[in-house]
Formats: sequence, structure tokens, C-alpha cells
Amino acid sequence: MDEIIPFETGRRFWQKVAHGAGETSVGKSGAGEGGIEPLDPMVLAAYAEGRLDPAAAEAVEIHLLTDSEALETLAAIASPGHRAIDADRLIARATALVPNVPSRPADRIVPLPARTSGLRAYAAWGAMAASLLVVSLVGFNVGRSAEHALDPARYQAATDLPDPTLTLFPNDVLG
Amino acid sequence: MFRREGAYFESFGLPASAPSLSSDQQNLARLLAGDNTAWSAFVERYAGLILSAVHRVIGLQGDAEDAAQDVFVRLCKDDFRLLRQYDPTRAGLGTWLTIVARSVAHDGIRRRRAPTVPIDDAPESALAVQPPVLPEKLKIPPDLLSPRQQLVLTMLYDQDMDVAEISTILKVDAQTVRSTHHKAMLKLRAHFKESGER
Repeated sequence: MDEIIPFETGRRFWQKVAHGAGETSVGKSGAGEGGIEPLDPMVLAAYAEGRLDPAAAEAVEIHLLTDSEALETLAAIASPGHRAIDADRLIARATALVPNVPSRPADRIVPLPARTSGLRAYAAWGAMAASLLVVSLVGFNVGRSAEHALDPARYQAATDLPDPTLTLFPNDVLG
Repeated sequence: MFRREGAYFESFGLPASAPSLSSDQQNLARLLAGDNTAWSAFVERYAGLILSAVHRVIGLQGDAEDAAQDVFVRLCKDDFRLLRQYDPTRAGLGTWLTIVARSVAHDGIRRRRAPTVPIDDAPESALAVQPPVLPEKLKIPPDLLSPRQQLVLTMLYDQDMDVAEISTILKVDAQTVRSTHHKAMLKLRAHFKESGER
């Protein structure tokens, strides 16, 4: 059975090996310093809540070895002592950042009146089609009558056609 | 382009009516769907959390309220671009906002920490290069400790966290933390005893 190594002994030993170490030197800097790429806050938040799978969690832990800032953040989240601070002035300032009006254009558009539907719509379309038909027939007849009146000779041939009743019933037959 | 509110609920993997969403998430969904009237409710709900998170980073180094306001500016900038990155299926909004707030606060500290002084104005003593004090060099092979073992030692000895804090962060019990520490120390001892580097 191995003896239990006291933390004080461990601390002295760790300070001797870790702070002279090349390969596994533990970073004292935070993300954003010394070229350390900061962790995505969403990934760190998921790690803090234990929602990452083991492989992703291990990747975060490897990152944490060189990012003391992220470690401190995790410690801050883990420790329950959030002090109550009066935030009234901050609330007033931050609320003013975004105008308190609906920003969606759709909210400012006056809607069109609702369309009629059903029989009323069919009746309207039917009336419109009937009117168009009547206007077409009247116009056609007026034009034809006017043309006839202006040039009667042109329509003489039409009137000279044999009367079909005479073909079927010659005058001699009819007497 | 504004998305339908129902479409936003659907992007959460929930039905369009989203009856199971909490009121906070419904408020956030309304905000991101274009209803700016939800912003004030969002601010009232999270201002205390953000101010507290920022205050723990900044402490006495600056005005926490200004830094917290900077967090809100970033959240609503470019039609809530940062806020849209939040994914409710992966973590709680409070956790995510705490991380974002602390990150913004650290950025602010970094910006303030590096004031530029013209080289002509700097005193001669400030330009002198001190010879570095090199510690006694020992090297830990990269694969000697697992990432979890290294992390436990880092948290214990570099971050000065206690076992309870570490067990909360790593979602393991305190005995597992002690055991991980013990195994890591045994490995280190064995390695340096064998290699005769001590």
C-alpha cells in the first residue's frame, strides 16, 4: 500500500517539476494572451454544466492546462457566492441600448382588407364576363351596320345570293 | 432578415408553440425574433448576474458597471450577433452569460494593462534588461500524466483551488480528486527516481 502523499509535499514537488518543465509547462496566462486561442464560450459553458461527451470534455481539459483564465471562470461558476449588487443604474443604461419599439417591418404595415371569397367572388367574376360579352356583341353589330350603311354596293353580292327557299321550292312548283 | 418567431423556436429543436420553453428562453426567443420590447426584460433579468461576474474579475481595478455595460453592448451589437451564438440545448443562459461577461472583463483589463509610453519618455532604468532567473530544470514527459491528472495538479497547486472546488468543476467526488492527485504524484516520483534526475 502506497503512503498518502500530503498536499504540501505535492505542492513543493509540483512547483519544482512543472515550472521548469518544457513539454508540459502549465500556462499561467489566459486566453487572448500569449497566442492561446480562447475556448468557445458555448463549449466552456457546456463543460461547466457537464453536458459534453467524454472525448470533448477531455479536449477541454487539455485546453484548460494552458488557460488559467478559463479555469478561474470555471471556479467562479462552481462557487456559489454571487454577491448581490445593486444593478439599477446598469439596468437603466443597458435598457437604453435597444429602442423599446417593435423593430419588425411587418408590425408597422397596415394590412390589406380581407379578400371576398365564395359565391360573392364567383358572382363578381360572372358579371364581369357577361358585361364583356354584351359589349363585344353590341360593338360588333354597330360596326357592321355602319360599314353596311357607308358601302351598300359591297354587300349587294350577299343579297344577290339565291334564295335557298327558291332552290328547294321553285316558283313553278309553288305556282 | 427577420425570422419568424415560430421558426426560431423550431431552431431550438422545439415545436413552434414551444410550450416547454422557460419564460426566460421565450423572452430570449422573442428578442432574437425581432421583438425589441423583450430587451428590457432580458436586461432586468440578467443585469445582476453580469455585474456580479464582471465585479469578480475586475475587483478594484476599474468600474464594474462600465464593464458590465460593455457586455450588454457586445450582446446587442450587429443585431444581437453574439447573443445568437447561445445554444440553449448545450448550457444554461446564466452559465453562458457568466463566461461571456468574464471574458469581456478580462479583455478590458488587458486593454488597460498595456499603456503605451514613448521610448524617449521612459527612464533609463526601465529599459534595462534583467537577466532571467532560471529555475532548476526538470522535464515531465508529455505522456507521463493524463490530461485529467495534470489538470488536477494545476488546479490544486497553480490555481490554489481546494478539493471541493475541483470536484465541483470536474463533476467527480472529492475522493476521486484525492485519488487522481495521489496517482499522479506516484507517477512523477517513480519517473524522477528512475531517471535519476532528482
